[in-house]
Amino acid sequence: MEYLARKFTPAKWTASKIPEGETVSADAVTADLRTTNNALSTWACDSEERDVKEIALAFASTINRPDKICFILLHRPELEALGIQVSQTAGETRVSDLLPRHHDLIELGLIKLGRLAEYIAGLTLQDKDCYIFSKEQFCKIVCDAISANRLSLEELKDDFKKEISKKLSSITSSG
Amino acid sequence: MVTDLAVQEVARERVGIDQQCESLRRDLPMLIESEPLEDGVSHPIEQRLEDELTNNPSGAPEMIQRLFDEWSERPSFAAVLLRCLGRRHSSIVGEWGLSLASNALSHRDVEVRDAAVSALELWGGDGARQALQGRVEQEPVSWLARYMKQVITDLSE
Repeated sequence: MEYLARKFTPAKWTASKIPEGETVSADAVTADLRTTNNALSTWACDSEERDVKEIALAFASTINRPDKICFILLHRPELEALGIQVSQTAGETRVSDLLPRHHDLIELGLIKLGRLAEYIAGLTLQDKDCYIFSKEQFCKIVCDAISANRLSLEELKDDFKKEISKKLSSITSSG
Repeated sequence: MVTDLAVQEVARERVGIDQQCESLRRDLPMLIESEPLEDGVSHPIEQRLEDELTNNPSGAPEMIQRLFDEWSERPSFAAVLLRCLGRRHSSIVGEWGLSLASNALSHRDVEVRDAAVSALELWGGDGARQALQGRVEQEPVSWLARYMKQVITDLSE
């Protein structure tokens, strides 16, 4: 798989948010590039929407309320050119067949993080490799996965679980 | 006499709104800075807004609108306020919320416009769909226009 998807907040990366003379807004970095152990969590995928939806599914068990979800796709050769290393690591998802897709960008310091931020800002500016799934699209992805027994309703949290439960009931009653 | 009492009552109410507004003005930035808002993740401001709207249904809308207007120059705060308001049920937020979010679709700041689309998406309904339809062609940021189109489609089904 050629890409690594990172959950992000496109509004913070948009050109109008960047201070004059800068290349990236500090808010974007502090919101979306918060590292732990100098690493950032990403998920391997192809660039087709169908496959990015799989990554959205990986997040289903970690969120607690229905909402949109956004991803930026990082091209592995570009990351390599920026000197950023990638390592397959354990990810947090209840969808077991997606577990091998989790990768960390590792050994990040200020310089590499800055390069990565500029790369993401460039992609957002061109609206390239940027995927947004509305709340309804995201809920459908999760409902389909539950129907296919890839995930159970019990593994979801709080308000998100309630929303999906409602949608599943309406599918059952209309079907 | 009756008029005097009514004036005093209105004045007391205004002082109450001013005090609560001051309290929110002080607390919300701290909450925003201590915990960034993320898609799909609850934020402490939501409960704070719910409390205000439940305990003070007549004054809270004015207070929230006032803060939103004040934060026009600090749009990230205004955006979080609107995102969290969007997470409250449409029956609590009512017509004034729909009006606030609809107007915010033409805000100069993209974060605020994004927050407005999210709020309208979560509330749903014909009013939300019509507000989005009325603005989508003017949205200059391509990913946001795409998101708006998708929400219009979702709300039309």
